[in-house]
Amino acid sequence: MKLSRTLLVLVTAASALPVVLLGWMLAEARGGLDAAAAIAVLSCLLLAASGAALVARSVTRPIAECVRGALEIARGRFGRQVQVSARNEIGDLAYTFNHMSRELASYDAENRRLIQALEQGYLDTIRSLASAIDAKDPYTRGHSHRVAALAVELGRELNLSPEALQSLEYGGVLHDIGKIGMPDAILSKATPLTDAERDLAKEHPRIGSEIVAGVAFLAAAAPAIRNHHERWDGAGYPDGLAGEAIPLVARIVNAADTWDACTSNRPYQKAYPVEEALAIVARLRGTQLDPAVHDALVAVVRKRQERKRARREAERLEREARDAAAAPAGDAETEPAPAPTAAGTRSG
Amino acid sequence: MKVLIADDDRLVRTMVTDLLGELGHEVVAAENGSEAVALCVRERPAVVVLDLLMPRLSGLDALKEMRAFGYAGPAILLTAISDSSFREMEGAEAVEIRLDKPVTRRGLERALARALATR
Repeated sequence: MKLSRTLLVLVTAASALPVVLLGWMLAEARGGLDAAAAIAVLSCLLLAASGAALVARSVTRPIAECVRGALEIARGRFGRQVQVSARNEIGDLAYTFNHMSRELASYDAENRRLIQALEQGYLDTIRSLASAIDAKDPYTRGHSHRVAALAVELGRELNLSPEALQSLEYGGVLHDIGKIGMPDAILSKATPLTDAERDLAKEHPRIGSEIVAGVAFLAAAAPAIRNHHERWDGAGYPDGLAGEAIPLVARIVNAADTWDACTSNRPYQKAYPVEEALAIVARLRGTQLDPAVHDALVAVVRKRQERKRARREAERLEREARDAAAAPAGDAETEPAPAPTAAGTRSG
Repeated sequence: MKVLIADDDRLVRTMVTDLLGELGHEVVAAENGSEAVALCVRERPAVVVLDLLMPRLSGLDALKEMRAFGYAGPAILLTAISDSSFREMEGAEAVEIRLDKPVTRRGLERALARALATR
């Protein structure tokens, strides 16, 4: 450290200079130094050097500690405290530094809390907006939320970034927002649509993306809304994009939308059981669905089935444990095993 | 050779970009740490030049993320602080080469030559 070197040299020079001078004068006067005088001069020099080292250390150590703390804060690690116990100006510096650091950490935490609350508020608002579309048609109740939840799960399966997951959530919830302007007669029609009606219905992704285009925090969701009816082979609408040209978020929302349409009751069809729905989407792999997204969908559906099975099993064990507990004391004593098992499964 | 430069100071960014351009390199520039990480993943530069103290993510933390994303090339760190203070920082050992601010043409050339020699 530069400062410590400078201090060492300066203090040593200042304190050793008189002794050296004295020794020199003595040597001049006597024509040489005897052993005792030489030892005295040397030990004085040694003392001066060690004193200087002590001074240099006591000044530079706390400063270095403060610099370390300041650098940590500068790189965004707020709350970092420095350990300086000196009762002088450097101690004051460290004390104020620690206070400032704590304040910064609390401002930072407060900011994060506010951002989170703001985002939650946004999400609640768009959820109620989506409920408004779902409410137009009893068959699609909850559809937007299910699509959003599945789209986010697919995004996780595909290891997407937190930002992409957010646009999947917003895009999934709002993918059908364009239907808000569609006549109810078209949305809930049980018979096939006429060409004119179909053309009108096909406008909803474009209308939807235009609705959110003006809202800054939804801008990332706009591609998912606009292109969620594109097909991998390019035969979709409104832009007729194909393959990788379709934004990934739109391909994911498309798959989630298709899955939810297969597995819920619609005016024109009853919900398919999971295995049949899987067979249907398998046929769409590579034509309508991005093969990679399809594979993620299969993985997510299998995981959901697994979770459902585990939950059922846990409930069964819990029920058995309850029954065992409710049974007469004699029975409970012969079969004490299920109770701890059930508790274990539930907490796990 | 493609070089990524990240510095929040527009003046430094422009100057280093110009110098690198004059030396015949292709340059991509970022103005903070997280942008640098995103750019590094997308552009796959051969060398990264990172400022130590930047908003959002410091040069050291950005480098750590780049390494996690698979960047294996050399890293040059731009700093204005003394070497002993820098060496005390956590993650400093991951940096092959330090380049003191203010950046000079010769310093930059030498740092790049050393960066290439380490690989």
